[in-house]
Amino acid sequence: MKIKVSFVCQEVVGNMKDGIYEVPEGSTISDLFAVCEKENNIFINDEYRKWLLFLADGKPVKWDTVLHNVDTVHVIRAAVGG
Amino acid sequence: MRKKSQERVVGAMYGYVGKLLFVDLTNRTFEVRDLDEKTARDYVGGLSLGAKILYDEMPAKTPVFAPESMIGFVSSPANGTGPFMGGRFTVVSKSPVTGGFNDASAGGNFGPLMKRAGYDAIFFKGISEKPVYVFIDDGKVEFRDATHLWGKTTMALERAIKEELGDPKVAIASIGPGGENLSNMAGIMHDEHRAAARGGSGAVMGSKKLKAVVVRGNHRVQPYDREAVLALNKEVAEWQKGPVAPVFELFTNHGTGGTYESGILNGDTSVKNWLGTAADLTEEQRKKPTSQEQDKLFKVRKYACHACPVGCGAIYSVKDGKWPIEETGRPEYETDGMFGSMLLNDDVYAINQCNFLCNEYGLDTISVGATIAWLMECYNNGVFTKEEIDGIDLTWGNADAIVAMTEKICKGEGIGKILQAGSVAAAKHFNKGFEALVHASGIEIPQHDPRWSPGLARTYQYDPTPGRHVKGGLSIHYGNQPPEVRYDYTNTGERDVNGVVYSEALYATGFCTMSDFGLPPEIHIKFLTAVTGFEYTPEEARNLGIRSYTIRHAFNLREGFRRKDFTISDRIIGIPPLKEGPTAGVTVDAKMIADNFFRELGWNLDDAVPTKESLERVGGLENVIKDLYPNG
Repeated sequence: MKIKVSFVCQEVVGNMKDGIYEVPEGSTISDLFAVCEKENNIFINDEYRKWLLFLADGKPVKWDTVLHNVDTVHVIRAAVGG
Repeated sequence: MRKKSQERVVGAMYGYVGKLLFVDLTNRTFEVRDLDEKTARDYVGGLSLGAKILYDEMPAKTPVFAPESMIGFVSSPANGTGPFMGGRFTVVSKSPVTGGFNDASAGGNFGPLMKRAGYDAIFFKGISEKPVYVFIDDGKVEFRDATHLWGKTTMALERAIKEELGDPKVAIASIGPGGENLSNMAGIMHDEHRAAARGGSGAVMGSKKLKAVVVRGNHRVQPYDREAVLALNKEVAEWQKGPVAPVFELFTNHGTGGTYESGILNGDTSVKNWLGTAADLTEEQRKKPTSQEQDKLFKVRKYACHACPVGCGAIYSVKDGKWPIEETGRPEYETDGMFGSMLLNDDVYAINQCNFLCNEYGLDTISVGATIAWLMECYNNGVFTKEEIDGIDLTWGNADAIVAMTEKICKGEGIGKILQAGSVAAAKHFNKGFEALVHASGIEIPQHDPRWSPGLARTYQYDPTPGRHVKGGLSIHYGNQPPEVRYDYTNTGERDVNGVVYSEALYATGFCTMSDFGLPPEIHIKFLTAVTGFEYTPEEARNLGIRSYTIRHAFNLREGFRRKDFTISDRIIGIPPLKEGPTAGVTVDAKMIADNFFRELGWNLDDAVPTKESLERVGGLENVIKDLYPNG
C-alpha cells in the first residue's frame, strides 16, 4: 500500500521528507511512521512523539489505527495555542 | 538555610512597589494609596488585582464612557523582578462591546517599567477637557497636552512622544485613531508592535481623551528571595530543553504563526467564517501564510519581551508588492487566521497590510478580521449588494477587497464607520446578516474552534471576559486528546476548574500565555512565593485562582448579568455540525460542560450566581458577599 505522507511539524521531526511511503496492507500508523523514520534515518523519541497527531485522508487517527484504502496521511503537531 | 536577597521586614512589600496611583482626568488630580498586604496576597496582580480594584472603586452600572468609568493598567509581581516569561501586564475596564468586565494583557516592557516608575497599578477616571497624555516620571505625575498628537497612528505617536521627552527608553501605552473614534474594536498598543487588543479598552481610553500613558523611572523592586528566582529560572531553562523543546523551537524561530497550517488541518483554525474546512484550501494556500514561509519573505530580526528566553516576536519589512511597509510586527497566528483562512485568503502581502493597518490605527485584528468575514459571507450570499458596501467586491479570497475594507474600518470611512462597532452592532444597524454572526456575548470569536476542543465552548461563553482563547478551562490543548476523551462531556467540571485556577494565577503573577508550555507545571506559584515571600498551601493556591475568576464574574453579576445573558453562536458549537473535515458531525454539548463547571464551583446552575457558602469557602470576597447577599 503506497501512502503519501506530509509532515507539518518540522520542529518535531526535523528533515523528514514529504513523499510516498510503502507499507503492507493492515499496517498501522505506528508501522507507517517507523518506515518514515527508517527511510529518513531520523528517529523520534517517545517524549517528542507526544507532540504528534495524525490525519488519514483528513480524519483524525491514532498510532494504533489500522490503515485501509488511505491515500494521504498528514503528520501534524499537537496544538499549542497562539 | 537558603540566603535571601534581604531579610523579611514586617510590613515590607517584596515584588511590589506597594503604591497604587489613582488619576482623575476631569480635575487633573491624583491620589497615591498604599497597596495593603492582604489585598496583594489575595489578589496578587494583573487581571485579578485589577478586577478587585475595579469592583471596589467603580460604581455598579456605570455607563462605560461616563466620567465615573475607570480603566486600570496593572502590573504583576513577576514584572521586573527576574522570572523568565514574567513580563505581562493587564488592562482592566468595563467593555463597550459586552457591557461587562474586560481585561486584555500584553507583554513587551510596559509592566516592568510601570513599576520602575513607582506604581504597581495606575487607574484613571474622569474625562479630560482636551486630549492629554499622562507622563509618570519616577513617581511624579504630569498631565501633558496631546492636542497635537490626537489623530496620530500608534508608531508615529510613540516616536513623537519619545522625541518630545528626549528619551527613547520610556514605555508608552497608547491608542490610535480607532480608540479616539470609540471603536468597539479599539485596543491599546505599546512598544510599537504589542497590543492589549481585545474588548474595546482602547475606546475607554479614547472616551477619556487619554491618548497615552508614559512611564519611566529608577525604582527598583526587590524580590523576596533572588537566589530562589534564579534557581527557578534555571529550572525553566532546563525544562525548555526537554520534551517541550520542539515547541520552544517553533515559537522562538517563527512565533505563533508557525502553527497556522497544522491548525487548519486538525480543525482548530477557522476556515470561511467557521463554515469551511481544510478542503476549501489547496496545500499551497495552507502553507503560504505560515510564518515559516512569511519569514523567508519579510523577516528582518526577532525580538523578545521583558525577561523572555522564547522571543516569539519579529520585525518584518515588506519591500515589494502592492502594499510596501517599512517596518511592522510579524502577524500573530490569530491575525494570520483572521485575515487568511477565515476569508479564504492566502495573499501574505494583504495579511501584512491588514495587520499593519490594525496596529497603526489601534484596532484588534481578531475582531476586524471576523467582522470582515461576517460581511463577506453576507455579501456572497446576496444579503448585501456591492453598492451597500461602498463598491467593494468582497468575494471570498479577494485580497484587494480585504485590504480596502480593513482600511475603511481603520479610518472609519463609509461603511467602515458602522463596521468599527463590530459585527454584532453592524448587523443590528443594518437589521440583517444575523445568521452569519459568530460571537460570544457580542464579541467575535478567536482562532480556536470548540468543535475541535469542546471546552472552549464554556470558556468562550461563560468566562467573565467572554470570547477569549487565552482564558482558562479545559483549554486549547484538550483538543489534542483522542475523540473518545474530548467528546465525552461527562465529568469535565474538575478539569475545567483546574484549568481556570492555573490560568488565573498565571496571569495574576504576570506570566505570558506561552508559559503554559514554556514553564514546568505549577512553577508559577513557586515563582510567586520567591518574588513576594507569600507562602500558599495547595488549597490557598487553588482559592487564589477561583477568587480571581469569581471577582471578575461578580463584576458582571453586579451589572445585572445572569447565566442566560452569556451567549454563544450555534455555528461555533456545531449546530448544525460540519459535514466534512476532522470535526465532521460534532455538536458540542456546551450546556453540559457549563453545568459541570458551575456545579464544581458550587454555583447555582440556573443563574450562575455563586452560593454564599462557596464564596465564604474561597475567602477574600467580603464585598461580593455583601452585594449578592445583602440580607445575610
